[in-house]
Amino acid sequence: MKNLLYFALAFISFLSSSCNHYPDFTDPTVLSGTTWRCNDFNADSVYNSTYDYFEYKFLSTDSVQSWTKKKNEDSAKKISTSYYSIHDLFITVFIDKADSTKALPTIVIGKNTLSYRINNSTSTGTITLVFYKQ
Amino acid sequence: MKKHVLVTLGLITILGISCTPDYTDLNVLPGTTWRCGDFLGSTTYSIMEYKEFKFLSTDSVEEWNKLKHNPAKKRQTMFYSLKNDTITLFINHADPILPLPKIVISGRYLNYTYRGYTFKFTRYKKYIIR
Repeated sequence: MKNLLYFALAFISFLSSSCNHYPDFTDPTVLSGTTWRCNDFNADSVYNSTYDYFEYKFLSTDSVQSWTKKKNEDSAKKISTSYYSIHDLFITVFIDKADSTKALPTIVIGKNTLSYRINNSTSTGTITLVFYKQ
Repeated sequence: MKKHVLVTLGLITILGISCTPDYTDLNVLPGTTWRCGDFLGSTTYSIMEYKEFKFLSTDSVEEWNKLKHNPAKKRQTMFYSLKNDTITLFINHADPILPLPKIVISGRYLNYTYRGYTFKFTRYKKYIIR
C-alpha cells in the first residue's frame, strides 16, 4: 500500500514537471523552423485597419524572414530575409550579416512569445507587438 | 564582553575581505564559475533560473543559461579580455552580439551589463559532501 502511494506521488510529480516544460527558444536550433505571428496591434487603429498579421519565419539558426499580410491583399508578402543572433533572451536581427551595426530593433524571447517594440502609426509613442508560435 | 564581540566581528570581517582573491588578476579567473540567479524582479528575465560564466582559460569563457523547467544549456564559448576591472567579451564575427555585454569585477562580484540590464554574479562552487 505504502509502495503504491509512493509510486502515485512520483507519477504525479513527473506529470506536473513534464506539463511545465516549454521549449527553449533561446536555442537557435529550437527556434529554427518555427513561424511566429502577431495579429493584435495594441489597438493602434491604423495598423489594425491595415494589417491582418506580421510574421517571422526562422529559416535556420541564423536567418529569418519577415512577412506581412495586408487586409486588402489576398496573400502574405515577404518583406525581407535577414540574419539574426541570440544572446540571453534577446534576438538581434541584422540586415547585413557582414555589418553588425545595421541592426533592427531587438526581439525579446518570452516563455511562449516573442515581442518586438515599434513606433506607433502616428510616431508619438511605441507599441509592443506580441508574436505567438504558429 | 561587548568589546570582545565587536573585536571578533571586526577580525572576521578583515579575514573575509583579505580572503577574497583578486579577480582582476588574469591568473585567478581561469577555473572559476560565476552564477546569477537573482534577476531583480525583471519581467523579461522571469523565465530564466540562472545564468553562468565558466572561465576556462586566460582568454576563453563559456556562457551557460538555465531556463526554468529546462536543463542548463551551454550557449557558447566566447573569448574575453581583461583590462583593469573590466572584462570584454568577444564573439566571432559570424555570430555578432550587439551591443557587446560588459562585465565589471567589483570585489567578490561580477557586474554583468547587457541591453540596459545589470545583474550581479557571485562565485559558484560545488561542494561535494562524502
